[in-house]
Amino acid sequence: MTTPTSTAPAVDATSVTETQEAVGRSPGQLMWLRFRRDRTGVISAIIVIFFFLVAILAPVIAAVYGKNPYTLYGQDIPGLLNDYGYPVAPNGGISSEYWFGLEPSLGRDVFTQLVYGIRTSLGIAVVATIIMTVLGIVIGIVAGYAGGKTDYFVGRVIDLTLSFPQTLFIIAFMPVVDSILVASNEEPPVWLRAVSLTIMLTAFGWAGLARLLRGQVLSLRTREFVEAAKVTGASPARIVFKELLPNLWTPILIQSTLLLPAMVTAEAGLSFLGVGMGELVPDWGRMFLRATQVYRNDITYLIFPGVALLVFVVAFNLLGDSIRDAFDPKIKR
Amino acid sequence: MNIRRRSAFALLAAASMALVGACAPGNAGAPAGAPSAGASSAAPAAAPYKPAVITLGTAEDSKGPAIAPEGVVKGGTVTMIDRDDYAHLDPAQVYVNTDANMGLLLNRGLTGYKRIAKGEYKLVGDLATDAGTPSDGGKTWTFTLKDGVKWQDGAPITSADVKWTIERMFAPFVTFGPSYIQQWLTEEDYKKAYKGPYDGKELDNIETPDDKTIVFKFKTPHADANYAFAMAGYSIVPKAKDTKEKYDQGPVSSGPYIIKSHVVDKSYELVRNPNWDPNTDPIRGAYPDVWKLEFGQEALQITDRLVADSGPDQTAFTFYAAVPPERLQQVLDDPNLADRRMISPSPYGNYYYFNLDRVKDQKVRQAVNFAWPSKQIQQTLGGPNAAALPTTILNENTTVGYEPYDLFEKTTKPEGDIEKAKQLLAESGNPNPTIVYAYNQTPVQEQVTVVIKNALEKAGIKVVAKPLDRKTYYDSISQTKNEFDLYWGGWGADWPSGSTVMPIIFGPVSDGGQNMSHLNTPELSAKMKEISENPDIDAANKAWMALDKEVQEKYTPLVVAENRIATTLHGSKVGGAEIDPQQWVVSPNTIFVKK
Amino acid sequence: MLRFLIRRTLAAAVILMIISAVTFLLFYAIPADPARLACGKVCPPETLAQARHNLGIDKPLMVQFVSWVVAIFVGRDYEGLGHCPAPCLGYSFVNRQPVFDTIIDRLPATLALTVGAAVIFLLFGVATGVIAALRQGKALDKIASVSSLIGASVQIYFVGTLLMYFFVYQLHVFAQPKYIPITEDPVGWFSGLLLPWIVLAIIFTANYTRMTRSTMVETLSEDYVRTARAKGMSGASVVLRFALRGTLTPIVTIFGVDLGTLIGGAIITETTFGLQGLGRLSLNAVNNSDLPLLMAVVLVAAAAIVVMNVVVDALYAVIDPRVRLS
Repeated sequence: MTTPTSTAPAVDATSVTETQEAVGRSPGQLMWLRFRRDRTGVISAIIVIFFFLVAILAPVIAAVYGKNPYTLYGQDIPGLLNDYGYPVAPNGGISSEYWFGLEPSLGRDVFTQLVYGIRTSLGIAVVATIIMTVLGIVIGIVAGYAGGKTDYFVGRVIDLTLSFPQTLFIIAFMPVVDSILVASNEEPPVWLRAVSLTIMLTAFGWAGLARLLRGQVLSLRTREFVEAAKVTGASPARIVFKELLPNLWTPILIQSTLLLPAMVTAEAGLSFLGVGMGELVPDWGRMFLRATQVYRNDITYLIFPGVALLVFVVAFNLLGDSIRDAFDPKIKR
Repeated sequence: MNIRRRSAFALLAAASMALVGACAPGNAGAPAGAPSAGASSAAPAAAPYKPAVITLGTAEDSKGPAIAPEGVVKGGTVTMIDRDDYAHLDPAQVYVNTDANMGLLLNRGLTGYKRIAKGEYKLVGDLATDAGTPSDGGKTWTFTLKDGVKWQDGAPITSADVKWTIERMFAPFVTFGPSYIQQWLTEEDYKKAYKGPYDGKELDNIETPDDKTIVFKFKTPHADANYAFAMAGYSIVPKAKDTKEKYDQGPVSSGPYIIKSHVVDKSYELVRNPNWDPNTDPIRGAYPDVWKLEFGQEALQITDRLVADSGPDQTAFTFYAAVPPERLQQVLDDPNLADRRMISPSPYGNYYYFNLDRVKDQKVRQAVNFAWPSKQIQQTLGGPNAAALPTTILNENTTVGYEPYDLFEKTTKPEGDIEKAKQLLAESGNPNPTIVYAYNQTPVQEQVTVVIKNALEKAGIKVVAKPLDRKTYYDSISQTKNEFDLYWGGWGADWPSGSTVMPIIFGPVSDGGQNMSHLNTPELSAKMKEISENPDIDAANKAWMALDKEVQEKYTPLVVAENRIATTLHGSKVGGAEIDPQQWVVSPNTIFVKK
Repeated sequence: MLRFLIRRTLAAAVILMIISAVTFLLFYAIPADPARLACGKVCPPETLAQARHNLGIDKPLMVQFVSWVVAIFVGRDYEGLGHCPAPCLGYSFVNRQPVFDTIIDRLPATLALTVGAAVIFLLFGVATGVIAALRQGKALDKIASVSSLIGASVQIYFVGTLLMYFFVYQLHVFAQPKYIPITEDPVGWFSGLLLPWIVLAIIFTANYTRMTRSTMVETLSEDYVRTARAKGMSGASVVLRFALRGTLTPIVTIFGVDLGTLIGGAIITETTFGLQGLGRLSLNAVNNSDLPLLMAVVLVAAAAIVVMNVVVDALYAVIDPRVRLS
């Protein structure tokens, strides 16, 4: 899959660079050079970095802005919400005081909810993606390198995982995972759902990457340089880390940049279905759930998380494409 | 009565809202061009609500046919849309209002409620010629069956069927229905005293001197037994066609319709029962020829369909799917919907019970009551149009002789009096108590919990919110040894009398029982027994109301919770739709299809 | 070819078997007690034990699983409840009927939703892909690429709700989404599903546009196509005879996978539009703790995915005979 918007200029630029300065460039440097010339990629990267910064700096932003995502402004201060619980001011209660308006009913500040919500969504997505990537790498390489029965077995497990109706399964088992993590007579901590969500997302997400890497390793295994290493008596560890892994970083990086936004949307989707974070934790998915209930009266409340998520996912997908292009312009078909 | 006041307040609020809206054009808080129209249309919505009046009817009142609503048309097909299919069809297993409502189309009982006019009902004989004759100080009740009442196969309904109906309710498989009559017949643990008629044993104290007469002999006086027989759970089952557990899949009809087809969780089609004679039935109008019941849609979608009122949905309505809070503003502000709206507050009592075994200090319980954010909860649920804020344990809609009182200044300070709460806490010696609040983990309850936590913490009470799985919520809180301090619970009167509320919510403490505050003093029990056995119903009703206030003053075992107000819509070609004030569902008895 | 198919079908059956075993095992861990739910509010211990016995949940897990599998082929009797004829995927104690009937009842809504959307996004996706490929670098190509990328990043509950707000409730262009059987009212069926189809198409078209475009570009630059062109073959027949054929393999692959996942995972779409299909059914089953029903829906959803995989493999083998060797 390519990003045709950036196709033509990127290819031209790359070829020029390579012919003019053919000396003394590592693949990393080359990649960086190509990437820098890909305007779409750079813009997407800036947007993605912006989202991460917002997530990290959420408390600072909230402090400067002077609100927090927990206080029920609309209930504590009269005149902000009407009798039905909807913001009195136009456009979902947007004002100089509440930049993105107020949440219907509870009257919390939408701007800080959104800012803190990035933290929740990105936090879960990043952790899930990292675990999945590590799992995918280990399983994929083991299967591809060991071959034979191991490979067959791992292959079937991957098939099996991919055949599960994931969303359905996660919804059905969330309570089970919850009850395994915390005994029922204890107060469930706030992080419980986050951990359960991460576990469930990971359980189904690793297989795709593992399958892809297994394929890559299978084809690399028979290549001359690996054969040569084997003949010279290199240990399996050396072959894996020195010969195979360096050749796999490109697909790994590309796949994990595509996995991350997929996880953000998966988390939001689960919250939308009612198995996400609780009411006390700001979360994008839950904002969607509430927004799809109140949209007939307060469409603004749907627009903010909707647009934010859309921008983030588009930027991240574009970034993924650009990284791929930069790593290997020949992939372009 | 306080509902009326509040409605006037709501009207004012709606009008002022409209003004605010008019000053700020493009107000997204009230879009769809609502503001200017809002003020005028709010008037019918806020028309004063009168609690229903229920009296005892005569033999003349018990004669059919039912009183027809204005402009009635016979024939046609009506569609009813709801979320859930009925859990039980066997009358013996029916307790829930929606199941009972469905039962009105299929089953008849000894007595029932006849609609005289809007908000006016009479208890009359349904299969019986009148609402029963008590003797022996209310211990013996005699009913005579009408002539010409038949089962769907044409066989006559006899006193043996009535006896069988009550006897089979003792069988082990009957676990969902009401238990008053069984309890009164045997007094001890009724399931142990008698195991049902299936092994050939009969109950001696139900007598059938002839095919038309049936006599019940209770161990203690029960002046209101004829009301108990009106419960859907006591609708009759034919002795000859009883299939035990399998009867739950479909009853033999004694009512105006029979089930033609049923796809579980999805649909029913009901057609006329040729052996039902309207002239024997004072309660059921049964105007449409065919009923189509449709299930599986959420209240939100049902509301949208009924608002749109397009094509086949014009002849549709819903028994139970009230307009959800997120559509309330739109529905109540739309003048075009004025004559398609039905509004009725819930007949149930809803309480946040204190666990008296854990929250032992009454000052703390009073402090929580004062700090309680009633108004904020009301707003979260959709505002004054979605919930009323009662101040009494007994519900005004189902209490004959209702008297309001307000111990915790909820009428003047519905948002809570934090200062007063702090003061009471200081007096209690523990200014910073911890309250473990257990709640049913639904999206709405999660929001309400945020509100409660927010308010109580302002008063210095630490709130530990404990979500409970919605499947096991009631099981968890009705464990006597539960580890929670405060939890929500509801109870509805089974007929309009305190005797079906107070002795139950302050009755015996047992696992799975209804006494969730665990308030159980000998003094209170004695008082309740005395009132229950009072043969003078009016005096008893007055005494219940006085006891209501006394309990809150003396013990404060609960916080009176908000009372939901249902707003329900019907299609433009549906006539006679009205919410039954006792069952809180749209009654099928008066429904007809306009031409 | 036949042997290939048999082998793949057997493998699929094994996968389904394992999925049901795993599901069964996991469901056993769910804390809800179906007997308790079936028993009611006044539930004496004897009745509870009887309910347990009737449901067969007083037996060891392995026995339960085996009788569940056997029931699929020969049916099963539930004491005091009723008979569940083959194929018996279980008996719902919440609905008091065999779950198979419930599933069969809901399947048409999900199929209509999925297949209808699939037809739109397949045709539209391939068409835009072809156009984009033929007009590489031109404005149309760029528009197609950008919009397909945004489409692929969009969420059903966001765009679906947004479109409902504007086109159903504000402008009244579309009918309110709902499912009416085509046999009852073909026009109502079409208009009720149109908006959900369009939203699904917005999301899925992107993949097909991209895939078609890239394969077409590749094929069009192949020597044999150039030769054909040089020999005077018309543009249209080049596209039809060579280029489109080349795109068949990758399109079939993703189409099969998409269709399988869509049938199995229409939960979010059905929730957004309030359609009563398998997705809503499974959510209700979760909320009601209706384990037998939930179990069966999981199995049906998995079967949809697995069967589509087999179909894809078979089609693959037809399109490209080399596949059969591997």
